[in-house]
Amino acid sequence: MNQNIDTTALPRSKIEELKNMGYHYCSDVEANLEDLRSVLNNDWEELAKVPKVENALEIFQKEVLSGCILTYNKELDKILQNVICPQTITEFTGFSGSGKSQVCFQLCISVQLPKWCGGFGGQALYISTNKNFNSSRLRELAKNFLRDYNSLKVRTQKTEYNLTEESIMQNIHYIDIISGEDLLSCILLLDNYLEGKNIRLIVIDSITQPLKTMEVSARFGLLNRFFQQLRILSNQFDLAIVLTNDLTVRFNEKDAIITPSFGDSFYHMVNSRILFSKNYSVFHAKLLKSLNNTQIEADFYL
Amino acid sequence: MVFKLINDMVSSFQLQMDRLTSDIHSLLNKDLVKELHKRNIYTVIDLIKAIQVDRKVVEKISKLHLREIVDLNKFLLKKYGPCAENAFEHYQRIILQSAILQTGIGCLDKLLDGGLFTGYIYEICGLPSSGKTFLCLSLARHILTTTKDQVYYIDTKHDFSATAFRHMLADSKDQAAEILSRLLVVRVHSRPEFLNTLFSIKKILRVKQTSKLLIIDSLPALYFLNGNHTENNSFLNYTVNILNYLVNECNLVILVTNLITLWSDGDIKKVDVMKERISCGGYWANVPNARIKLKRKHETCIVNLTKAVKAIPPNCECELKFTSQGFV
Repeated sequence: MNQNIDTTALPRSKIEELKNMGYHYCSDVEANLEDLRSVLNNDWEELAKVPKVENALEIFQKEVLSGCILTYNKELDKILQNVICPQTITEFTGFSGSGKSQVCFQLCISVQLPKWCGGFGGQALYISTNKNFNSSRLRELAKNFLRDYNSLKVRTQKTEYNLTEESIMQNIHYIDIISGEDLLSCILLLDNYLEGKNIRLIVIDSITQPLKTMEVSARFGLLNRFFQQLRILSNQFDLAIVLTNDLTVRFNEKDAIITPSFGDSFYHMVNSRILFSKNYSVFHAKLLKSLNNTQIEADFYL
Repeated sequence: MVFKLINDMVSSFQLQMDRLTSDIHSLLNKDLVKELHKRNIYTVIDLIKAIQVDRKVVEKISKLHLREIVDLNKFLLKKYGPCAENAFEHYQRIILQSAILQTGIGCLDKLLDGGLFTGYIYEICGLPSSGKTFLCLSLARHILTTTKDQVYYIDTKHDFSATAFRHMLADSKDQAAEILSRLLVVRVHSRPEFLNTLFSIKKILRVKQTSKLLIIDSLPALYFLNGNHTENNSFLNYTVNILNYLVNECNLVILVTNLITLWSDGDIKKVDVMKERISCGGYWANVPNARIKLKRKHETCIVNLTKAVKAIPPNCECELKFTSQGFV
């Protein structure tokens, strides 16, 4: 059985052109590549490319070396072990004021922890859609982080790898978004921006607002294109992605259930989901979905 | 006598559309191929049609004798047409080539009448986070630890975590590295990439059968990419063709994960009632030979067989437990 040229990403018009010339299968095109240069303009190699086959051992070695992003909050890290890894998408959900953005700020700082003590030594990109970005709070968190980091340096008698409040703030990039279309175009053009920078974490806070303003029928397609592009980016630049999502109410007969927005297909597309809540001053996090399939909970203070 | 068509050419129930080249048959030399191409006779099917419509024209172009043209026609039909196979021979071939892969989970084996049969497509469906990927990994783990075969894993949304899989291999100690090296993971992000991968796997397996299990996790991630029904159907069509070819000709078991979503009906009276719907549309619903439905219930998972290779057993339900080594 041969592969039909319909299955490639060639534009419709080119496919018709090739079929009129009697080429129906990829193998035939490959055999006559020299004659078809004028039609295909050297695109064929890219189109016929098969994604790399890796064995699980290679992936395991890579995963062990890269590790995952933690918050350095002892209680919260119990559930974040192996969750926010490069090339995966994590969703934070919960009512407003449940600590989602706070944890995101913390992640933006902790991704900068140098490699010698098990960090990523990278930068972060914060895409805000709800103007929740608070630089003074970020500075406060950076101060706390520096205190711990410097005491660690003294203990291990390291003198290099200085971090300062300024350098931490400079390594967090910030983009402000208003509408859903903006968000998609921003993601589509992001690879230019990421080129040459060492960004290892993208936070999108929140994904709900811009999508809710869109028409429901347009939302589904947009969301899936958005996820596809995020995966391509995270694969290309080896970065972790964190989204925040709001809660909504769903009716089933006489029950009203509070669930995260955008339904089951959205839930399917993310790799992990963490539900945040707050009771007085105690924050609570519950890992609902994860790659290693364990559901654990933790109480923590911010 | 019963004849059965084997689907060597599932893609078109007619002839293959291979381009005419000089290495097909000794009568078709380079000059003749060029001459035919000039007259818009490009493919095998074009030539056979031309012979059927007017043999004289072909005779004139090719300067071949009638006898030679008839021979050529016969040869092409035999090589590129679907061939009939005697039912008994077909049965013997199936018996010789096929295998049953045990799942390593007692009650699931019982439910599936012994295990996973090569030559069939199995679908694992369930709500998000119901343990679909975990079941795939449990099955891969069992096949990898009990046989020397490779397992292919097509990952469409980066759900494969080698760290998590390594945890499941905790009791195999020093063999773990060897076991991991036999699990081949391909990460695809688009539909053409996915189909290219399937065809490249076909090419590898036609040379030597190194694998009996192919896992696709998950199909909806690719299906949802486009809202256009025509394109979706064409994508599914090509996917189903190559999957059928792989299970039948390469003797594979294919596991596909699919999503169940909850929807409220459009009906005004029932607007608040949520219904389960299996993704990927009505066409796909008929494709898998067996469907395993998962439902998570705290620390266990209820398995339901809603479509089976043979008959659905009277007790079509069983309960699996999550453990660190996979489902038990």
